[in-house]
Amino acid sequence: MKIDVNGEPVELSAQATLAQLIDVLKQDVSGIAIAVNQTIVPQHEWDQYLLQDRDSIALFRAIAGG
Amino acid sequence: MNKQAESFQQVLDNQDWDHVRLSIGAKTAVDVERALSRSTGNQRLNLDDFMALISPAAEPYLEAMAQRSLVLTQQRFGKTIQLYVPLYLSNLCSNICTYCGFSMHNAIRRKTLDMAELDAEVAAIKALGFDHILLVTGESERKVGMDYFRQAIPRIRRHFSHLSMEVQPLAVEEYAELKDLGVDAVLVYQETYSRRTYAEHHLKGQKSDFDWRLATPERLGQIGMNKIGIGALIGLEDWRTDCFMVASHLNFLQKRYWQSRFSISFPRLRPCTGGLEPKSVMTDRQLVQLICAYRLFNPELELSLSTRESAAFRDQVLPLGITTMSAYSQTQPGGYANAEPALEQFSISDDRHPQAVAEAIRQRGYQPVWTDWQSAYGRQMV
Amino acid sequence: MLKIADKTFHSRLFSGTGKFANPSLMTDAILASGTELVTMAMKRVDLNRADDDILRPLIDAGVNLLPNTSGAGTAEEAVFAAKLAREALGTHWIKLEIHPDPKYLLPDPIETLKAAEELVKDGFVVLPYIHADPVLCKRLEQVGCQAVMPLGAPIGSNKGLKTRDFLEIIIEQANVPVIVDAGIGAPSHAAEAMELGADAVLVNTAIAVSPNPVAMAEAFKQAVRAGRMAYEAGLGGVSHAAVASSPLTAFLDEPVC
Repeated sequence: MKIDVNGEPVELSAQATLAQLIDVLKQDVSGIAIAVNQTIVPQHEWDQYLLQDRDSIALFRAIAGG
Repeated sequence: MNKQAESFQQVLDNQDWDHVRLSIGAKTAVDVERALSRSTGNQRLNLDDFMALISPAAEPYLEAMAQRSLVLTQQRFGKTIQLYVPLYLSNLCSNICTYCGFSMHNAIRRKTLDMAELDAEVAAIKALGFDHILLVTGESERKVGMDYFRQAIPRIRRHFSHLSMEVQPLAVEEYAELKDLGVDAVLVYQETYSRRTYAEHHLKGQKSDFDWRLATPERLGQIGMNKIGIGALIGLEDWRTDCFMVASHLNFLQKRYWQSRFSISFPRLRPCTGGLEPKSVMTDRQLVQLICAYRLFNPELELSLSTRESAAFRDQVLPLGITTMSAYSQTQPGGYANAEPALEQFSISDDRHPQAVAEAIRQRGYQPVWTDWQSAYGRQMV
Repeated sequence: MLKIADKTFHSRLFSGTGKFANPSLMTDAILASGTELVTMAMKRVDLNRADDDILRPLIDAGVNLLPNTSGAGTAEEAVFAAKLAREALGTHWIKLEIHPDPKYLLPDPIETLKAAEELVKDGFVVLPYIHADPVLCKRLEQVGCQAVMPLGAPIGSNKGLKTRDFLEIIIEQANVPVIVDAGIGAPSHAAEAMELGADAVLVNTAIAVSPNPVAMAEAFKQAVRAGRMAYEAGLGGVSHAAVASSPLTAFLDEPVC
């Protein structure tokens, strides 16, 4: 299935959870927040949250600024 | 940031009366000069500055305080004096207060205006030119309570652009109702902030409940009463300490009820039927000092001078911080339509006709104001 | 000691984390400043780069994090950003920053009040950044904000306390801590804010773009301390010559009949 992550298209061959996606993207799990289709998914749900085709994922991190 | 206490009672109970009194006495010329220069430097004064300004050490600085007070008052209020009149609706009272002519154990003829008499009083008052009125009663909850007010207020209010009340302390819901009926301001004087002395003078009746009375301005602030008046009856206690407590009370109320205006009055104990010697005598000079101190402490305060003071004194003092004055006050119910001295609450010192008072104000270069349009705006005139 | 909500601070200097030349300079400067609270923004992760965890040294040093909603132009966006920040950092503290105007970055009062109310209800400790509007500060206090952050001058302008007169009113009227934020360009501005009675100041640009950020951070640290000490000691007023005119109180000397 095709999903969108921070504006970039990502192709996934099989069913994946959010946790698995983060693994694939090689992102540090700590200090990030994720919204799927503009709804925030809390960290404790990442393991169970199954991605759907055409989901739009946004990954946020606190960065220096302001 | 200022950490707020839950109630003013907390603030008051955390202060030791004698400690405050001694602190005031300990203020020095240096403290006074600091307060004065902060004022002329357009800085905000705090309670400590106020304490210095009412202390004995400030007495030599009276002229400087008066100069500053005049400037501040003009900047905020212009060269104007608002005129108002008290209308005594009833001298019925179920309290025994040692200093008051209406005290329950005083054998005076009791009178409560009926609606016809009320209309006559209002007509007489309007003929004198007044547009701001203060309704006064003794404290008799049963006979002159909300039912009476519900009847009386609508009859009165449509004739005046500003309506204040000075009656017994009421409950929150009652004040909310009064506000809806069109009351713009409520005045309630603690008389003295010393619990012990208060108990000595308020012997019987609901007024003997110190805390209930003390919390009244907070109840008024809660329902958003537009203007709240507080003060002490000067002479019941050491005047400096009591007046400091008034300033402390004001400070607390202003922080919490930022949308209300405040008014201070400084009645000096006067002879009345029953007679009482003041515990501490405040001289004319000291009254001027107090007025100036309030003005420097709080440039936005309404400062009210009643007819308890002599005509000569009032004329001299009116530019020094005063913003509102009563005139031709009749303190017995029915006194405007017809007078009868024995029913008076206290004997008046300035009994000039309102037009004479207005002329005296003009002589001082000020404009007597009958209608404060700012108050009338937004009010529905029935 | 300054208490805001559930935290206590020894330092009254707060710092931003933006505009520094490089992350290690930022860390050094912030540590030199002695600050115990820094602000940062929430941004989308760049998937093509591994982001250094630049905040880690600060967290390890015990500095509190105050994420902001910078980038939001509406209350809705700010609320979303706040929730992201809570999720990412595990803190319920948020600096509300809503500036739809990209030129001057001035805060939107209406969206800020709206967002503040919603976030307070959701359990956030809300520190709103606003213009030095005393009435707005009281309104924000009323809806439950735990502090207010009025600006001294536009962000990054380094102009000092252009809003001084209004800051004085806010400080006088506030029942919550007042943190002067934005526009502080020099340590003297910070000292001035503290002398007025501000509870804390937030400085970012002045430190970050200084040729020597570490030294500048130290300077600000001292200025904030000095200003606060002066305020607590009790400042005298400015002396003005009295205007000579006929005595107002001579009448009191006249004998009373």
